[in-house]
Amino acid sequence: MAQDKILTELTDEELIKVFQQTNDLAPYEILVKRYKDPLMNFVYRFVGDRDACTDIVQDTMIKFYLNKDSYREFAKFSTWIYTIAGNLAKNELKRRRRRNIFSLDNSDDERSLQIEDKSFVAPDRATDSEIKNEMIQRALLKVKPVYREVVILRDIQELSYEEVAEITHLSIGTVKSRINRGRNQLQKLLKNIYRE
Amino acid sequence: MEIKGYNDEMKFSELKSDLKNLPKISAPDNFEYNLYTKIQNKSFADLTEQRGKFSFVKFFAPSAIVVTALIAFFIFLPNSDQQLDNPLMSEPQEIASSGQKVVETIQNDNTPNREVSATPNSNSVRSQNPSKASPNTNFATNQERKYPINRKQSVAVDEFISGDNKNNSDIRQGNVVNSGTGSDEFDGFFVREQPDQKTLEKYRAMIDSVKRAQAKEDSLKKAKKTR
Repeated sequence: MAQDKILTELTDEELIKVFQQTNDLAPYEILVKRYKDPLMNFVYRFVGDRDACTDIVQDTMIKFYLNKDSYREFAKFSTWIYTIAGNLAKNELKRRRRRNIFSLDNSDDERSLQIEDKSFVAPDRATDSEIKNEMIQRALLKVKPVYREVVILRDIQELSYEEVAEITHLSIGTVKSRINRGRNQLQKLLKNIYRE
Repeated sequence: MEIKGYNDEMKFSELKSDLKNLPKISAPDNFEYNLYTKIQNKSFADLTEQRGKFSFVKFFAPSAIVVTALIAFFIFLPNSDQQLDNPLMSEPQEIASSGQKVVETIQNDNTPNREVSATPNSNSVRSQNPSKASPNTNFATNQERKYPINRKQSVAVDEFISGDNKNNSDIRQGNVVNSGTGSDEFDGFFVREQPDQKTLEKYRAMIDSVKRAQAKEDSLKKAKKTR
């Protein structure tokens, strides 16, 4: 118990160092507890599917478990694990796109039509926070993935520009311009909900 | 009911706050249990898959197949010297054979017709001296075979009337147009002229003189024999 208490006080980087050295599951479990919810939030906003999101975060944690030695001390653990989750989420989106291209029924078109219908909700109803949040999430899924990722990391996950740049392997300038474009797209899509 | 205006700095402030205040999604209760079960059971085969290493067999197999196919194609390519007949360029069989027939009949038929053809004189001049043919004679004969109008079969009208048609042995006078059907019955179109009385008398006199000459020759031969 005493050792656990000490472990919880350690930083992420210290915890992974212990995990690398001892191969003990305790520091790993603490890191999982710390990051499961932020990663779930990030992946859900990016993919828009709760079940797929859970699988992706689980895969992220497994990858972390399997490739713990590939982590280098000079990087922040948070950016490292966000990068893994982001890559897996992008792979999932690619897989879905491929599936939609080859599928005959093309159910994604129906889904996008539903999104269009939702945007025509009466403005007085749109003030309701639940509907508003639903509309924001749907609009977010319509933004291009390259912009969506950076907007989520910056505005939802509240990471710094430097961290976003590190996660996405982009320069800070590119990150800023992408965030700006993403916000622009999002605002255009959400024109209706800002009416009074 | 007016749309909110945004200046450049505050443009996305409301959007940013909305994004920030979005409800946080949390992991399901059994998340960790499922995760540790997976790790314990090592049921993460697809995550440990490594990219296929480069292998020479995988790389060279398709290219080897393509190269073999190309070589086989060039080896067993059909002989390009073999010329294929273009049906549009070749001479139809029937017409060629009929043309041949006509030539044969002309050669066999030595008796001149009395009918006069309506072809121009220049053609007859050409037909009078077949021995003095130009280097293009073969080409000319081929052309003659091809087309229904045969220049050999034409005659100079003036010369024929005046009796100066020297080369009348191999011409079939008036047989100008060949129908192309292979039948010799159709001789083309002829211009019939009413013979002049004087000319007729002149011809009769000529024939009589020839007959007389022949009779004289015969009598002389008989006399020689009797001696």
